[in-house]
Amino acid sequence: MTDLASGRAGTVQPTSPTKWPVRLAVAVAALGFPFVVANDYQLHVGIFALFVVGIGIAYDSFVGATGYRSFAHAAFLAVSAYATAILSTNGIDVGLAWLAGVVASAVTALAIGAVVLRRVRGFVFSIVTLGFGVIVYVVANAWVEVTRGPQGIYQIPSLSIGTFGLNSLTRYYYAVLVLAMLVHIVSLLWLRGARGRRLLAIRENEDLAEACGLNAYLAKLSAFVFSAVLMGVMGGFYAQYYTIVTPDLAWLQWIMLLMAIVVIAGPGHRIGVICASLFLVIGPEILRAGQSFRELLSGLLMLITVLVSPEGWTPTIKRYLARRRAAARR
Amino acid sequence: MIEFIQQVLNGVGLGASYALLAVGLALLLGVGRVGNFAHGDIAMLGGYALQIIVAAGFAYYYASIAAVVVAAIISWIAYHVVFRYLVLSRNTNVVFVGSMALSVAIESAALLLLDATPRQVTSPLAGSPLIMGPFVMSGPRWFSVVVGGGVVLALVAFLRYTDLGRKITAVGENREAAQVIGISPEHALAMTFVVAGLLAGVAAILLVPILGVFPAMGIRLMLKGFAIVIMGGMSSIPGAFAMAMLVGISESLAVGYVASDLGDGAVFLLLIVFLLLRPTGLARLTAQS
Repeated sequence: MTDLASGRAGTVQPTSPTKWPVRLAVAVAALGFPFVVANDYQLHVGIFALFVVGIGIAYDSFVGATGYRSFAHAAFLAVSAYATAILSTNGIDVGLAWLAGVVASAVTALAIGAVVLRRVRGFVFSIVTLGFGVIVYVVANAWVEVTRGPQGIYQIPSLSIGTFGLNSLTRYYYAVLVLAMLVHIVSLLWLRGARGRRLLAIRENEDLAEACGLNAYLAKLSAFVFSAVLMGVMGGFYAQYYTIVTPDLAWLQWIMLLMAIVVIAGPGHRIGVICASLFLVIGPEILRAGQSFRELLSGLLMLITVLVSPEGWTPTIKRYLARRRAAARR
Repeated sequence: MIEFIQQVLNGVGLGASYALLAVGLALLLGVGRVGNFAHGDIAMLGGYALQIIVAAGFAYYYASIAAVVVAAIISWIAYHVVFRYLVLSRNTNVVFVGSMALSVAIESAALLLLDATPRQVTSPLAGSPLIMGPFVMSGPRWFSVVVGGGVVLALVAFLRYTDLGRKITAVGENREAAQVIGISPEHALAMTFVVAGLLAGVAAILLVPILGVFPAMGIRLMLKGFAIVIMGGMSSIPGAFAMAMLVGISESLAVGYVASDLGDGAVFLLLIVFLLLRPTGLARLTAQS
């Protein structure tokens, strides 16, 4: 986890100018994807993959920045998707409902963070946040008058501004591409500078950071709420794209996917998080694998990562590439 | 009032088997600082062993012994294949995430090989409830109170009076000091995994006649198990036992009085109340982790 030796923060690494050709290629590929797909199914996989990239980045902007393994983030996704769904199916404008979803997610995070972040650390934090996820799941199942229970809320309308509406897969694709980019850039800007360094100090040694006069609780809480806001943005999109929201959104498969992304990539390594998200979505689709097989795959991959390269693959691969470059220069 | 006491009795029946799981978790946390999320999946596999052996025509009691042994062996294998390497990181977060990955792998493999529908095992005690005046305790439930209580007492005696038990306790108290006087912490931890596996196996044979056995069972049990050990003081065996009873009872009351699908949520509401009211009690725990 320590990038301190090289004097760099995990989440706010400076970019090198030689990467521009690669970036251009990625941009062209991302923008041109809808024109090369063979069918709607492939386009759907693209939308889903970019959605997962978005939530992966949102999750990592807390987990990677603070080192705390939160299990409540799937609950934020669910809270925001439910708020968007409930309001928009009751006649409120979709844009406003989406905004309300983001606010609901942020308020949930504020409440949970205020209870938990001052009191527990380490894996106890993981368990307690997991508990909040379970509570959201149970409430979504049991509060039938509002959430319609296990059958979920369906026929959720989607956003339209004037005559332009989110009504085709291609439009959804570009919408989620913009959202994922937005989440990425906003989180990079937010983690830049003093704030990012404060969180890095907490991640590396919280007691020492506090001894230096840093208010760790406030810094952690703001990061928690911030990443919940990003999660909320993606949750509102989820509701509109899938047009159905069920309690399963708060259950374990989503948080396990987020966990797998961050563990495999290495917390705080943005490129790795993006690659791992794409890999974990597209890989099983190419293999035509079912849900259980997908989970088995991500479970085994996570296990191998933790055993072989506990800080994730990104730093390991980076070190390997650097060594090879150094060897080539000699 | 009769209804209330009846629900409490039902809760005690559940709590006894939760206690076995939670005590195993507490033991692993105390001896090796291992938060083992796959512990419930070991119980789940023990439950399947029980179901398969009973379905093959053997008696419940023989099948139970075999299932407990299977669970202990799987736990021992899990230590040697996974946890032996995870604990080298000396980071409780890494150990916990690794155990979670193992849990996901075991559960999804079970889903692929077996199927999601719960399988039932009929206890031979199903037809012999314990009747105390107006109160009734079903066969599997009073059996689990008797066996659960007995096994926890046996465990306490094992830790206090046997050579191996004392070694395990010593490593939990002070790893370095134990090493200095010639106790191998690795061996002690491996044996702790065996003991925890035995406890998980006993919990499985008690729970399966009540709840059935299904792949997601392990994760469901661990959600409760970890809530229990956090409230009970992490590595404290009496704490885990008491909290398991409290959780069993409150779950049973929530199901009886509020709604049948509220059981899982009740446990965590209890945990949050605990966090809010006893932050000092938990501060001691955070120092450990």
